[in-house]
Amino acid sequence: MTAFKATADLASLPAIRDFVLGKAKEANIPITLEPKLDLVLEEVLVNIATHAYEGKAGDIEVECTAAPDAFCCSVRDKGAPFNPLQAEAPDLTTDIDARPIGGLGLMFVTTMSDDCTYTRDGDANVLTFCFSL
Amino acid sequence: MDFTQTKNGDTLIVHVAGRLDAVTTTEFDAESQTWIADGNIKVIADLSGLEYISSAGLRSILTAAKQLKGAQGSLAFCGLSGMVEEVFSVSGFAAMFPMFATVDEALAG
Repeated sequence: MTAFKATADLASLPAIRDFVLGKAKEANIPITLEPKLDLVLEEVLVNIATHAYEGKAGDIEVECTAAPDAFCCSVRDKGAPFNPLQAEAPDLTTDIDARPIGGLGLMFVTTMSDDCTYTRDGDANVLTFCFSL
Repeated sequence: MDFTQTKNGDTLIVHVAGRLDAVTTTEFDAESQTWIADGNIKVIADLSGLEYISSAGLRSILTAAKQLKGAQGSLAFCGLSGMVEEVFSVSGFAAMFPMFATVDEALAG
Protein backbone atom coordinates (compact mmCIF):
# COMPACT_ATOMS: atom_id res chain seq x y z
CA MET A 1 0.00 0.00 0.00
CA THR A 2 1.39 3.41 -0.93
CA ALA A 3 0.84 6.54 1.08
CA PHE A 4 0.72 9.97 -0.49
CA LYS A 5 2.44 12.72 1.47
CA ALA A 6 2.05 16.45 0.96
CA THR A 7 2.41 19.70 2.87
CA ALA A 8 -0.66 20.66 4.90
CA ASP A 9 -1.86 23.64 2.89
CA LEU A 10 -4.64 24.37 0.42
CA ALA A 11 -2.20 24.27 -2.50
CA SER A 12 -1.76 20.51 -1.92
CA LEU A 13 -5.46 19.79 -2.39
CA PRO A 14 -5.48 19.16 -6.17
CA ALA A 15 -2.54 16.70 -5.99
CA ILE A 16 -4.05 14.73 -3.08
CA ARG A 17 -7.41 14.72 -4.87
CA ASP A 18 -5.78 13.32 -8.03
CA PHE A 19 -4.12 10.58 -5.96
CA VAL A 20 -7.31 9.52 -4.14
CA LEU A 21 -9.65 9.72 -7.14
CA GLY A 22 -7.06 7.77 -9.13
CA LYS A 23 -7.10 5.02 -6.47
CA ALA A 24 -10.91 5.09 -6.50
CA LYS A 25 -10.93 4.62 -10.27
CA GLU A 26 -8.50 1.68 -9.98
CA ALA A 27 -10.92 0.17 -7.44
CA ASN A 28 -13.83 0.69 -9.86
CA ILE A 29 -15.99 2.54 -7.36
CA PRO A 30 -19.43 3.48 -8.76
CA ILE A 31 -19.43 6.82 -10.59
CA THR A 32 -22.18 8.06 -8.24
CA LEU A 33 -19.85 7.71 -5.24
CA GLU A 34 -17.08 9.84 -6.69
CA PRO A 35 -18.56 13.28 -5.83
CA LYS A 36 -19.17 12.17 -2.23
CA LEU A 37 -15.62 10.88 -1.89
CA ASP A 38 -14.40 14.12 -3.46
CA LEU A 39 -16.43 16.18 -0.96
CA VAL A 40 -15.52 14.25 2.20
CA LEU A 41 -11.84 14.28 1.22
CA GLU A 42 -11.89 18.05 0.62
CA GLU A 43 -13.57 18.76 3.95
CA VAL A 44 -11.06 16.62 5.86
CA LEU A 45 -8.07 18.15 4.08
CA VAL A 46 -9.29 21.74 4.41
CA ASN A 47 -9.84 21.22 8.12
CA ILE A 48 -6.27 19.94 8.56
CA ALA A 49 -4.75 22.59 6.29
CA THR A 50 -6.60 25.34 8.17
CA HIS A 51 -6.39 24.20 11.79
CA ALA A 52 -4.09 21.23 12.50
CA TYR A 53 -0.72 22.97 12.66
CA GLU A 54 -1.92 26.36 13.91
CA GLY A 55 -0.07 28.28 11.18
CA LYS A 56 3.13 26.19 11.39
CA ALA A 57 4.31 23.89 8.60
CA GLY A 58 3.31 20.23 8.68
CA ASP A 59 2.42 17.25 6.54
CA ILE A 60 -0.69 15.37 5.48
CA GLU A 61 -0.46 11.66 4.65
CA VAL A 62 -3.19 9.87 2.75
CA GLU A 63 -3.67 6.14 2.22
CA CYS A 64 -6.44 4.34 0.33
CA THR A 65 -7.61 0.78 0.77
CA ALA A 66 -9.99 -1.01 -1.56
CA ALA A 67 -11.90 -4.07 -0.39
CA PRO A 68 -14.74 -5.84 -2.21
CA ASP A 69 -17.32 -4.20 0.05
CA ALA A 70 -15.77 -0.79 0.82
CA PHE A 71 -13.37 1.89 -0.36
CA CYS A 72 -11.59 3.63 2.53
CA CYS A 73 -9.31 6.59 2.89
CA SER A 74 -7.09 7.29 5.92
CA VAL A 75 -5.80 10.81 6.45
CA ARG A 76 -3.02 11.41 8.97
CA ASP A 77 -1.68 14.64 10.44
CA LYS A 78 0.66 15.38 13.34
CA GLY A 79 -1.18 18.39 14.69
CA ALA A 80 -2.71 18.81 18.13
CA PRO A 81 -5.08 15.98 19.12
CA PHE A 82 -8.45 16.65 17.49
CA ASN A 83 -11.35 14.29 16.96
CA PRO A 84 -13.43 15.79 14.13
CA LEU A 85 -16.23 13.31 14.84
CA GLN A 86 -16.92 15.10 18.11
CA ALA A 87 -17.35 18.53 16.51
CA GLU A 88 -20.52 20.34 17.52
CA ALA A 89 -23.39 19.86 15.06
CA PRO A 90 -24.39 23.12 13.36
CA ASP A 91 -27.95 24.50 13.58
CA LEU A 92 -29.34 23.98 10.07
CA THR A 93 -32.71 25.62 10.65
CA THR A 94 -31.79 29.31 10.94
CA ASP A 95 -32.47 32.01 8.34
CA ILE A 96 -29.82 33.87 6.32
CA ASP A 97 -29.29 36.55 8.97
CA ALA A 98 -28.82 34.13 11.87
CA ARG A 99 -26.83 31.50 9.99
CA PRO A 100 -23.16 31.58 11.04
CA ILE A 101 -20.52 31.51 8.29
CA GLY A 102 -18.87 28.07 8.31
CA GLY A 103 -19.20 24.99 10.49
CA LEU A 104 -20.61 22.69 7.80
CA GLY A 105 -17.48 20.91 6.60
CA LEU A 106 -17.17 18.32 9.35
CA MET A 107 -20.90 17.64 9.18
CA PHE A 108 -20.46 16.62 5.52
CA VAL A 109 -17.67 14.22 6.55
CA THR A 110 -20.05 12.19 8.70
CA THR A 111 -23.24 12.57 6.64
CA MET A 112 -21.74 11.83 3.22
CA SER A 113 -19.50 8.88 4.17
CA ASP A 114 -20.85 5.50 5.26
CA ASP A 115 -18.42 4.96 8.10
CA CYS A 116 -15.98 7.21 9.90
CA THR A 117 -13.44 6.42 12.61
CA TYR A 118 -10.91 8.54 14.46
CA THR A 119 -7.84 7.32 16.34
CA ARG A 120 -4.97 9.13 18.01
CA ASP A 121 -1.94 7.10 16.96
CA GLY A 122 1.09 8.28 18.96
CA ASP A 123 1.60 11.88 17.87
CA ALA A 124 -0.79 11.61 14.92
CA ASN A 125 -4.50 12.13 14.26
CA VAL A 126 -5.83 9.43 11.93
CA LEU A 127 -9.25 9.85 10.38
CA THR A 128 -10.53 6.98 8.25
CA PHE A 129 -13.67 7.37 6.14
CA CYS A 130 -15.26 4.60 4.12
CA PHE A 131 -17.81 4.22 1.36
CA SER A 132 -19.77 1.00 1.05
CA LEU A 133 -19.62 -0.64 -2.38
CA MET B 1 -15.02 28.56 -12.75
CA ASP B 2 -17.09 30.31 -15.41
CA PHE B 3 -19.68 33.01 -14.82
CA THR B 4 -22.07 34.37 -17.45
CA GLN B 5 -24.33 37.28 -16.54
CA THR B 6 -27.63 38.13 -18.22
CA LYS B 7 -30.18 40.73 -17.18
CA ASN B 8 -33.97 40.42 -17.11
CA GLY B 9 -35.62 43.67 -15.99
CA ASP B 10 -34.02 44.52 -12.66
CA THR B 11 -32.94 40.92 -12.01
CA LEU B 12 -29.39 39.73 -12.63
CA ILE B 13 -29.12 36.10 -13.74
CA VAL B 14 -25.71 34.53 -13.16
CA HIS B 15 -24.96 31.20 -14.79
CA VAL B 16 -22.34 29.47 -12.66
CA ALA B 17 -20.27 26.62 -14.11
CA GLY B 18 -17.41 24.45 -12.91
CA ARG B 19 -16.30 23.50 -9.38
CA LEU B 20 -16.93 25.67 -6.33
CA ASP B 21 -14.39 24.32 -3.84
CA ALA B 22 -11.80 25.58 -1.35
CA VAL B 23 -9.43 26.37 -4.23
CA THR B 24 -11.90 28.29 -6.43
CA THR B 25 -13.99 30.18 -3.84
CA THR B 26 -11.88 33.30 -4.43
CA GLU B 27 -13.22 33.34 -8.01
CA PHE B 28 -16.81 33.18 -6.75
CA ASP B 29 -16.10 35.88 -4.14
CA ALA B 30 -14.67 38.18 -6.83
CA GLU B 31 -17.73 37.53 -9.02
CA SER B 32 -20.28 38.17 -6.26
CA GLN B 33 -18.53 41.41 -5.28
CA THR B 34 -19.38 42.77 -8.75
CA TRP B 35 -23.12 42.21 -8.25
CA ILE B 36 -23.71 44.88 -5.62
CA ALA B 37 -20.89 47.04 -6.97
CA ASP B 38 -22.78 47.19 -10.30
CA GLY B 39 -26.05 48.00 -8.55
CA ASN B 40 -27.59 44.53 -8.86
CA ILE B 41 -29.33 43.41 -5.67
CA LYS B 42 -31.88 40.96 -7.11
CA VAL B 43 -29.87 37.95 -8.20
CA ILE B 44 -30.78 34.52 -9.53
CA ALA B 45 -27.88 32.05 -9.56
CA ASP B 46 -28.37 29.34 -12.19
CA LEU B 47 -26.33 26.38 -10.91
CA SER B 48 -27.18 23.97 -13.75
CA GLY B 49 -23.55 24.10 -14.90
CA LEU B 50 -22.11 23.63 -11.40
CA GLU B 51 -20.59 20.15 -11.06
CA TYR B 52 -19.39 20.28 -7.46
CA ILE B 53 -19.69 22.35 -4.30
CA SER B 54 -18.14 21.97 -0.83
CA SER B 55 -18.64 23.76 2.49
CA ALA B 56 -16.11 26.35 1.30
CA GLY B 57 -18.47 27.10 -1.60
CA LEU B 58 -21.47 27.35 0.73
CA ARG B 59 -19.48 29.78 2.86
CA SER B 60 -19.00 32.07 -0.15
CA ILE B 61 -22.67 31.80 -1.11
CA LEU B 62 -23.82 32.67 2.42
CA THR B 63 -21.46 35.65 2.54
CA ALA B 64 -22.88 36.95 -0.75
CA ALA B 65 -26.46 36.31 0.44
CA LYS B 66 -25.92 38.26 3.67
CA GLN B 67 -24.53 41.20 1.68
CA LEU B 68 -27.44 41.17 -0.77
CA LYS B 69 -29.95 40.96 2.07
CA GLY B 70 -28.20 43.83 3.87
CA ALA B 71 -28.69 45.88 0.67
CA GLN B 72 -32.45 45.01 0.66
CA GLY B 73 -31.80 42.56 -2.19
CA SER B 74 -32.33 38.85 -2.66
CA LEU B 75 -30.62 35.71 -3.89
CA ALA B 76 -32.47 32.75 -5.42
CA PHE B 77 -31.19 29.53 -6.98
CA CYS B 78 -32.23 27.29 -9.85
CA GLY B 79 -30.99 24.34 -11.87
CA LEU B 80 -29.46 22.29 -9.05
CA SER B 81 -28.84 18.60 -9.66
CA GLY B 82 -26.74 15.69 -8.43
CA MET B 83 -24.34 16.28 -5.55
CA VAL B 84 -24.93 20.06 -5.63
CA GLU B 85 -28.60 19.48 -4.89
CA GLU B 86 -27.71 17.00 -2.15
CA VAL B 87 -25.26 19.41 -0.50
CA PHE B 88 -27.90 22.19 -0.51
CA SER B 89 -30.40 19.79 1.01
CA VAL B 90 -28.17 18.28 3.72
CA SER B 91 -26.88 21.70 4.79
CA GLY B 92 -30.33 23.29 5.09
CA PHE B 93 -29.44 25.80 2.34
CA ALA B 94 -32.33 24.47 0.21
CA ALA B 95 -34.73 25.56 2.96
CA MET B 96 -32.99 28.90 3.54
CA PHE B 97 -33.15 30.19 -0.06
CA PRO B 98 -35.86 30.35 -2.72
CA MET B 99 -35.18 27.34 -4.96
CA PHE B 100 -36.52 26.80 -8.49
CA ALA B 101 -36.12 24.20 -11.22
CA THR B 102 -35.44 26.65 -14.05
CA VAL B 103 -34.49 30.30 -14.66
CA ASP B 104 -37.99 30.98 -16.02
CA GLU B 105 -39.63 29.66 -12.85
CA ALA B 106 -37.22 31.69 -10.72
CA LEU B 107 -38.10 34.86 -12.69
CA ALA B 108 -41.80 34.14 -12.20
CA GLY B 109 -41.03 33.85 -8.47
